[in-house]
Amino acid sequence: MTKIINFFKLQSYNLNNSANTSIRLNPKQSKMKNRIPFVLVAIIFFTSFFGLKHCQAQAKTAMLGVNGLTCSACSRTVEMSLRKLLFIKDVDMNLENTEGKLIFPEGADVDFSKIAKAVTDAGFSVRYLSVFYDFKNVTINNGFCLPNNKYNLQFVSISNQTLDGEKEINFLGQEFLPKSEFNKIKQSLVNTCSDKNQKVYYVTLK
Amino acid sequence: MKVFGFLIILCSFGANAQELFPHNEPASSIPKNVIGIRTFGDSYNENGTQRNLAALRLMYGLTPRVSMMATGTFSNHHSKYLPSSLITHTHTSTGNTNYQTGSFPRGLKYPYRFNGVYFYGKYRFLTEDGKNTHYRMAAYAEYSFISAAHDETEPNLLDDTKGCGFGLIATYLKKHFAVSITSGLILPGKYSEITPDFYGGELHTILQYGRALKYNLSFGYLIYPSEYSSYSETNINVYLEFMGKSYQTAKVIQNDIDIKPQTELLLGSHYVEFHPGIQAIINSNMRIDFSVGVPIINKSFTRFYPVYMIGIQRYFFL
Repeated sequence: MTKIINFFKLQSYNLNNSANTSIRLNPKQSKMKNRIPFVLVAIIFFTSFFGLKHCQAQAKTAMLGVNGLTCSACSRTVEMSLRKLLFIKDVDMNLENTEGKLIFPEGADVDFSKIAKAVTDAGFSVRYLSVFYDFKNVTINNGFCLPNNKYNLQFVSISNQTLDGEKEINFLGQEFLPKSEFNKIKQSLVNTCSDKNQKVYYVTLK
Repeated sequence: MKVFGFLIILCSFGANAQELFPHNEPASSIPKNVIGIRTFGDSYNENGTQRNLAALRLMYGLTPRVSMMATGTFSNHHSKYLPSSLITHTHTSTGNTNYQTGSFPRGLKYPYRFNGVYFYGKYRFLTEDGKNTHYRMAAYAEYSFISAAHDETEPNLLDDTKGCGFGLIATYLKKHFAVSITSGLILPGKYSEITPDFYGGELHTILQYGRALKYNLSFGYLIYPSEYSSYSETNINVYLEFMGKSYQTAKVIQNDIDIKPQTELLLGSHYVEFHPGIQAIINSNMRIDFSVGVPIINKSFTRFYPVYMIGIQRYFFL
């Protein structure tokens, strides 16, 4: 929060400086000029706000465990299904362990439900989905809801802590776990995010 | 006994497996939006004449759980009409007509014909997946538009008889070892023809093939590689498939006379065949199957033994 306040102070300082060095304008222009800092501040405020939201946690890579796989042809089918997703840059399947490493492009909007669907479309089931996020000083507690660009991450079964740098988090939803494992924890998955219309992914730290 | 000995040895490897059986469909489905093309054929020698069948199958994964297939077949298995000695009749001096059924010379040369199209749909309704293992069940339905002059009561929807069928498949897979059971009913249609009567007039013949219950058991085992390393590595699987069928006696009608079948070709029976096979999977996509079929309990009258089968299949990812 301190960082955000400092950031706006800096923006305001820069704007004031630029106003001081501007050329003399007529009264109408001057009136407009007086509004410019406020408009710019507003623009910067909103873009910074949403930008920060987006950058607080960026998915970099993921490990995907697939159940039901027993042959290389089956594994290849899953890989082909995953490669159709535009937000996946590369897939590296480990045939023996029936898991795959997914690499996301920089700044990609990753749709994790589509990853799970790609696996089920290929005829198999997700055993686990573990995503490596790049966090930027995010303080979390149990039930904390972290808004992301198109979804919310809700942390469960965690202690209070600050996440900074790369952290691995496990997805806990029905689509990311075997049925038996999901049934054990489903009671604890209650959406506490303020925006109920936004897709929420329940996650925990590995 | 040798077969069961081999099975025990196979199971004692401890579980390593494939379910891409050459003869039976597993309960698993074709991946969604994937097209598969399979061409296969079988061949056997019938008293000096080589009988061949060639088939082209198109497969599609409609949803993750629903798979569809259409198969067209060509073969030299059938004449244009039923063999004349299959159903014969004599006129008595009292003006009566006696009808009877009989066998016919085997090994006659027939031209290749397009038998028709066979449709198959499968719905996977149970999925229990684990790491390197799964247990799945599916229901299937089949329907065929076949107009061949099939001259035995045993129905075969792929290329011999029109009709429909339905059944269940249960497949269990553990690492490299797979086992699958397929059981279902076949409800064949009837074949009818009008041919000139040697004594003058016409012969209106209707042959209603017997209903059948099929019970197939398949085992599969991946023998190479012992550990997967890359998609380009060729996989070798061995299969043991037992194909069983019980079928009813045919109903034979000629010129509105219900004829009691006497030839074994038209009488109800049952049999079990054994089809050991080997399969190569190249680049984790193209599969080449080869199997040899022999009878172990009774035999099918629709073919001679051994029956050789070869198939090539490939998936195309849309």
